[in-house]
Amino acid sequence: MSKANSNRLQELLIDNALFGLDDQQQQELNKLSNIPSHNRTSGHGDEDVRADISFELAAAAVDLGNARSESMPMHLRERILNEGRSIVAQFVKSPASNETLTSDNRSNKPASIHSEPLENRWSAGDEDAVVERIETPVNWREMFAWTAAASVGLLAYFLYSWSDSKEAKYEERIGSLQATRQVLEKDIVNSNLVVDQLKSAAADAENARLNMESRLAKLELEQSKLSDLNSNLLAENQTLKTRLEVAKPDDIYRIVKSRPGAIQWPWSGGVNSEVKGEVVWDPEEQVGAMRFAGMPPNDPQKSQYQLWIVEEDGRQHPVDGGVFDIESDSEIFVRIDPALMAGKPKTFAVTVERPGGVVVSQEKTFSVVAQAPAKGDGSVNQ
Amino acid sequence: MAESILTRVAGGDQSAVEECLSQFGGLVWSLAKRLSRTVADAEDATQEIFLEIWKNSAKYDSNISSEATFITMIARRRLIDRHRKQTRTLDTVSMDADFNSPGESEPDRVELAEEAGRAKECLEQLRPEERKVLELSIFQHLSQAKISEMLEIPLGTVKTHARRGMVRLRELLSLEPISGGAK
Repeated sequence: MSKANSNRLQELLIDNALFGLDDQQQQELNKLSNIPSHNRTSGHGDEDVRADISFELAAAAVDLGNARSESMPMHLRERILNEGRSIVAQFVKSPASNETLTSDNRSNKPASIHSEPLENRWSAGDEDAVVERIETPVNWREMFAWTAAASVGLLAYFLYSWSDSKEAKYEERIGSLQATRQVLEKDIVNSNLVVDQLKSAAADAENARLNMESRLAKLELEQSKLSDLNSNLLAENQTLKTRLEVAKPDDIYRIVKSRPGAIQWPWSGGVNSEVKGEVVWDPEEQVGAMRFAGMPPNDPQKSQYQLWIVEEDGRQHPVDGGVFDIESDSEIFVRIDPALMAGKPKTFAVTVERPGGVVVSQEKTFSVVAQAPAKGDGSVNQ
Repeated sequence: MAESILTRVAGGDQSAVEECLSQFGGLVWSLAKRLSRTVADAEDATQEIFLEIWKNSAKYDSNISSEATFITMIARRRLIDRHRKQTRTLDTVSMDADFNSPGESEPDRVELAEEAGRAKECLEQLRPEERKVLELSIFQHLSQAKISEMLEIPLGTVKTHARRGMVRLRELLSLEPISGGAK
C-alpha cells in the first residue's frame, strides 16, 4: 500500500471511530482495507468483515472510562431478554448459524473446525470408510437424498427462524397489549368509581325530589284544609249574617251579647234617666240592638225616636243609627240599623225627631245616652 | 479460567443472556440515552445494540479487550450510525437533561474495566488540544464542524488533533492494528 493510501486509511479509520462514515467514505474504507466487495456494505455493525478496529476499541475504552450505569426500564429488559434467548437458542440448534454471523471467524479460526485434513477428523479405525467415501463414484440416488435432506434442513431452519422472529414480534405485541390492557383496566376502575359517585348523587337527588314531592303534597293538603276551613268560615259567617238579617231584635240582642268583642253599654244619661236597658254592638259585624224598659211611648204621627252613634275619631256629625218607635214602656228590643259604618263608637244617643227622622239632628237634648265606660271596665266582651 | 459471558452466549448458554443483560444493560442504556432524543428512541437503540451483541458474541476475544470495552465499541458503532442518520436533517440536541425517569436511582459510575481506567490515564497524557478534540467527539458526539466552531479553530486543525490524538492514544493503550471484527 502506498504511503498516501496508508495515511488515507488511517484517517478513515479514525473518523470512523470518532464520527462515523458516510456511504462513500465507508466504501473507500472497505476498498483500502481490501474487504471483499460483497462485504462492502454501508453503515456499521452489520458487516461480516471489518477493517482495523483498534481505533474503535481505543475510543470505546475512553468512552467506557467516563460512562455511567443506569437502571434499564423493566419492559425493555424483558423485551431484550426474550429476543436474546430466542437468538441464542438458534446457536444451540444450529451452531453454524452463529459462525455465519461472524465470518471473520471463518478466516481466523479455520484450523480449529474446518481446515483440518479430512482424514484427521476420523479415528484410525475409520480409515476404510474414509477411503470408501473418497473413492466411491458419485451415487445419484445418494446425492439426491443428500440434496433433499439439505433442502428440508434449510426449509426447517428458515421456518424456525421465521417463527422465532414472529414469536418475538408477537411477544412484543403481547407486552404492548398487556400494558394497554393495564391502562384500560385502570381507566375502567376509575370510570366505575365515577359511575358509582354519579349513581350516589342521582340517588340523593331522587331522595331529595321525593322529599320535596312529599312536602309539597303535605302543603297542598294543608292548603286544601285551610281552603275548606276558610270556605266553612265564610259559609258560617254568611249563615250568621243571614240569620242576623232575618232575626228578630231580641234574638239579635242575645246573639250579639254573647259574641266576643261586642260592646254592652247601659243607658246612663239623658232626660229619661229612669229608663233601663243597654246597647249591644258588634263593631266587626256592624250589627247590634238596644233594650229599653220604661221608655216613654211615642206617637209615630208626630215624632219618632232616632239613634245617633258618635265615633272616637271625631267625625264632624254623628252617624244616623235609624229611627224607631216605642209602643209601650214595657221591655222593648230595637235593632240598630246605621246608615253608615260606625267603626269605633264612643257614645250611643237617642233623640226625638219628626217622623222619618232627620239627616242632621238639631236637638240639644237626648232622651237616653249610653257611653263607653272608663278603661278597665268589663263592658266589652273578652 | 472461567468462560466469558459473551463466549457462553455464543455457545448458546441461555443463562448467559440474562447475565449479560444484568452486567452490561445499565451501561448500554446509559450510552443509548446519551445519544437519543427520546426515551422511545433510546429503547430502540438499546434493543438494536443488544441484537448486535448477541450476533457478534462469537467475535469476542478476551486477549484483545475486556467485555465492557467490546460491548461499548458495538454500542458506539450503532449509536454513531443512528446519530448520523438522525442529524442529517436535525440539529444535535442535548440528551441527558431530557429524560431522567422520576424515581430512577442516581446513575453510578460503571465499574471500570482495566483498560478503561488505563485509557483515562492515557487521555491525560495527550496534549491539551488533542485531548479536548477527543473529549468533545467521544463524550459529546460532536461533529468535526461543530468542534471547529466551538473551539474556534480551522476544520483541518480539528482533523489533525483528532488523528494525532488517536494515534498516540492507541500507542499508549498498546493496541496494535487489528483486522476483522473484534479478533
